[in-house]
Amino acid sequence: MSFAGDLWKASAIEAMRDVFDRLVFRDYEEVAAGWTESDASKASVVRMQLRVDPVVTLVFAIGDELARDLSAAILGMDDSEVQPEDLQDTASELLNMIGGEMKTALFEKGIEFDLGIPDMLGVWPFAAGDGESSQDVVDGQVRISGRLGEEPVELRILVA
Amino acid sequence: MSETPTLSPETFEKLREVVEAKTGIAVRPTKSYLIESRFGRVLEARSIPTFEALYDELAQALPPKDLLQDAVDAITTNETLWFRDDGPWEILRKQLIPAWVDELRAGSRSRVRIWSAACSTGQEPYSVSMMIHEHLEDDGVVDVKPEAFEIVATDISPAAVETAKSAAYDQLAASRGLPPQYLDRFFEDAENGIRVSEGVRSRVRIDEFNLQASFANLGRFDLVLCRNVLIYFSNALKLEIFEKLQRTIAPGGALVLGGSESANGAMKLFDMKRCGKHLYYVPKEKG
Amino acid sequence: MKILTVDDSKLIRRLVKSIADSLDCECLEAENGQEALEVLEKEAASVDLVLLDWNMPVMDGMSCLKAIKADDRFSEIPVMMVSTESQAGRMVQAVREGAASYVTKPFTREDLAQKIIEALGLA
Repeated sequence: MSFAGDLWKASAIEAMRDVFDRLVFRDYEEVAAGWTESDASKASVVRMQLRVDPVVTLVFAIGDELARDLSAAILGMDDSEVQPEDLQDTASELLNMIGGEMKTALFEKGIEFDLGIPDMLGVWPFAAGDGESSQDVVDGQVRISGRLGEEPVELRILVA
Repeated sequence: MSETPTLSPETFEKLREVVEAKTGIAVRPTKSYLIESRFGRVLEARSIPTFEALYDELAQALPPKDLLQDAVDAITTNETLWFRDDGPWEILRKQLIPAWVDELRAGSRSRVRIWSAACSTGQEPYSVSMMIHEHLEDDGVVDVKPEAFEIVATDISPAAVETAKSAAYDQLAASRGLPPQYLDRFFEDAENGIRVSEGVRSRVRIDEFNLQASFANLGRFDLVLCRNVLIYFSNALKLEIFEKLQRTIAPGGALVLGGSESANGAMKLFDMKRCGKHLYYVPKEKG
Repeated sequence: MKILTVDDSKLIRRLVKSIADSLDCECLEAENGQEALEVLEKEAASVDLVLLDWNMPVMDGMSCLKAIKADDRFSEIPVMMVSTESQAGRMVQAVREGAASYVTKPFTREDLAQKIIEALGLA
């Protein structure tokens, strides 16, 4: 069964745009410059498996600065009140919402799956790139590099 | 022109960009049909042959000011009702006006300043003024004068501001949302319809104002009504305006948005509160 | 008025609590369906509304909803499903199992606040 990478990528970008727009009035944009090792070293990383055949896994990461900013913005508090353990939790819930919107959009294209429960990963699980332009599929992963303002947001779609 | 020119997706994009660049107003891509019909009227009114030609006019370094204004008017809907939605009126009646009257009596304040930040043709600020007069009169409040209340009303559209200043409305505009007892009490007959009475009018000061400008010269307010206008702005501008509003509203003051609007992205700046079934916002203390 | 928010995400539980505070309502929390039942057993009829997420570990929202509706002690408490799932099928299923209403994430504060105001009959 062929993997419709284009459809998955388009739905992921639209989902991220909508989630960030609604939750915090921010604009997500896809960028060419890729995720770097430096980005990976200070990020909250989460993973979610989608129950479909073949298994698709989403890996999502946002920079710590951004995670703190968003946590505070969503909860209506000062950045200084955000605890370190809150950052991964925020990334988790963001992935949950992004996955949910992808599910709805792809359902309409005839692709069905169930959402798994997000897994908090301590570290970025792949060798980080050196910031080269993201291509559509590298090493079996659809790479989507984006920004919220100046802050990096990375999503990978992996097919088993 | 014998037939309506068509608006291509490319020209729509260009018009969207130039209007946003010149005025800060963001048009969501899904509203192209609105743009087409409304801009179509602008083409007609100004004898501009095509949407492309309209774009060329707007894209100049200094586009004709009235043409730009037409573009703004075309995009922003004008749902002008008296006492629109229940929310602000409940909050004023049940909570704000009684509290202000108490404070004025006690001397802990000497005046109340209210800002209607997208007043359009004036229905909103005059409605506030009527409500204040009604409260003072009906409750037999003699020790607090209506003059203690100042209502500043602003809008980006010169045409709307002109109408608001005239305080005169035709029968159709007069009938939209105006309870008959208010009509009797706070209006007088005018040439083509009715006009708001002197007492109610004199509470309100109306001016042109662009929300992208600095709010510094407006002073501070105890209540800001900013209803159904933020939806037209980009996220970045929306956030900027919330930041300015937080500094403009006095401690203990309130912000009221439109019934289906959200301040989701601005919760670092405001706390949400409830009055009955309605929501409003109070600025967080700075520092 | 007392609300119980059930979600494995701490962010969501805190957000719901923050909204409940704005509305002058008390807010209890549970991380999954199992914990929710434990809280309800303790608090019984004093909870006025349950906000229930769907995808949770240990016991998911649907199983929890069924358990709540099957238990005479709390079957009358209105349950609002809060979920990222926005398909009609899911919503119909929830309502069929007894959910009073349904909210999709991401929600705005105002959205959820207004739904809570309605569900609790606040005035």
